[in-house]
Amino acid sequence: MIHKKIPLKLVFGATQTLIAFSSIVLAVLIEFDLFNLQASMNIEAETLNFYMLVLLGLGFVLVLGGLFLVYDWWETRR
Amino acid sequence: MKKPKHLRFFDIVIAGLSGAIGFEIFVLLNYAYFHLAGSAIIFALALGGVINLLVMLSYSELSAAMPLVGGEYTFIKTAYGGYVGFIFGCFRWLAAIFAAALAAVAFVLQLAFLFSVVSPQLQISISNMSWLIAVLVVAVMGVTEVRGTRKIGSFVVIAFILLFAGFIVGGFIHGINTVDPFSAPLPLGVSGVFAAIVYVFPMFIGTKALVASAPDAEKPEKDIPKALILSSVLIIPLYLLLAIVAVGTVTPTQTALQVPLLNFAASSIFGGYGGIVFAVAGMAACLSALGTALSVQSSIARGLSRDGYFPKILLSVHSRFGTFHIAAIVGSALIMALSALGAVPFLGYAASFGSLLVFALVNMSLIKLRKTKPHMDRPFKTPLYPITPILGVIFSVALLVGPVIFGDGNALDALTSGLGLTAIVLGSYYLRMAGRYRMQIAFGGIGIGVGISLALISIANIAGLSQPILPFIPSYIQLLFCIVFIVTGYFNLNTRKERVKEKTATEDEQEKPLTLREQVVKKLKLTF
Repeated sequence: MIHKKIPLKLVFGATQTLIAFSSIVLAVLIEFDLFNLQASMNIEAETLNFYMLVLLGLGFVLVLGGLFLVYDWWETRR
Repeated sequence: MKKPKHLRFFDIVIAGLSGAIGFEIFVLLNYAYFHLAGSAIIFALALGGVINLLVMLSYSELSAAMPLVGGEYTFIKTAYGGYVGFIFGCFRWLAAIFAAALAAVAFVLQLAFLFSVVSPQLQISISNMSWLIAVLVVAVMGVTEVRGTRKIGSFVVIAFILLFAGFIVGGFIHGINTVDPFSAPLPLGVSGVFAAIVYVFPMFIGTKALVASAPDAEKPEKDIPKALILSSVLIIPLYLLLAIVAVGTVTPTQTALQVPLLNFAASSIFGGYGGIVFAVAGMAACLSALGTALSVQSSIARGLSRDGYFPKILLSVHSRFGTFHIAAIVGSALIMALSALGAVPFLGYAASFGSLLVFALVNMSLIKLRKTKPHMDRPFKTPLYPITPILGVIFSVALLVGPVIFGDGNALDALTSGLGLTAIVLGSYYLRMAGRYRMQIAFGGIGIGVGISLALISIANIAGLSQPILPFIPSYIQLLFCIVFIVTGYFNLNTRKERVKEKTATEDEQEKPLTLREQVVKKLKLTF
């Protein structure tokens, strides 16, 4: 019963990790204005800190949440 | 079987010098000279060297008393126990990660300089793709770490000393401008000189690398303190003379250079070939430092993993190469992300941040051990105790916060990041202590909360009732993400329940009926 659920947990865990990691990467790219992102995304200097907080804060928490499920799968596989 | 102790005094001094003579001199002079201290960089270097020497006196006492594997980790753990040991490990790990990223960025700068001499057109392309090249360099070095194929001999140190000696002699023969630190204009006043110390400090701190040689030294109690002090003293005049020659080749009216100062000076003194030789030497130093930092970060991460602070997966050994590939891959990924930033002053300060905190902790450990273990065998005693370690703590903390107080923007960014990382380190420790399943439930709850909140906002946005929080991500994609967060959160919340069920089922399966003899034995055991 439990073994059937594991691949689904892995898929969701890996997807969340990927989304959250992308949000951290996006935050770094915006902060350092690589590829002129701030202008192309219409981000003003006043709102920059807010975006950093949302993208980085949630990014870190959600990466860990996703990694837990991936770790669960890895542990069960062993 | 015990490993034979084979390192003699000369080998240990070379180990200290090889730690200190690195890529930092090739990359960190520019910002300190042009933006912070001007010609008074000579003072900054001298003070940096003296502070390093002061801290090395504390290292000398502790490493002679405890010539064990683990170096600083052992000192701090003995003095303060596992909690502070864990904090130290994390900062030392982060310092190695930032130093590696700085080395990758410095490598690209040297490569760009090399091509500025050979082909200026190609130099522009390299400058435009600098982040990509830095990431690739880390990737290649990461692979060599996984494969375990990298070997760098200590002869590199002697080659560097000869190269620097040639540069200094050549500079004085060629003729340089008089460097007058007293009358030269200071870009940021006296405070700039103090701030500059932080940026040049990483040039010196590598001398402590010789502490790692203690377990293999023939006479650690005698040789380690002497070698630490000698290498810390020798490095000061070497860097001072290098800086005097480098700064002396720049005209006082010259604005900030776009190329590394040492390369510029070598080109001015020896012509184009001098610049090429220094660029190649700089690249070699960067690769060597990057390789060392990769090994160091892997070793620390594994140590923390072994003690149960980091996931055990980091201890996995590659079936073919016999190396710790997961630890190498995780560290390399982080270094790649940081090296893509390409911000030299930020990385320079961030690398100092971890080292300075470690220095403060080592000095505090010395004071604590003198109080708690007064009868410990100390073959070397720090002179002028307790003034020396107290000054060590004060200088370490002052150097950490000084540039921020003096309004240096890079330091403020790096300190904010450093404090953020500290919060993550402390938070992860407490969560670790709370237990994995509690953590998982907490993160599951947060995931569901975030998912539901974002979903409501996205629905309101689609219905035209509110403004989007993240306008650069379409609302329907945000909604899709929310579903992932909610489902993942649900799985995290239920993991423990499932595990308990699974365990019970396995135990039921394994439980076989006892024979008559086993039943009697069990009963007897319960009775007595």
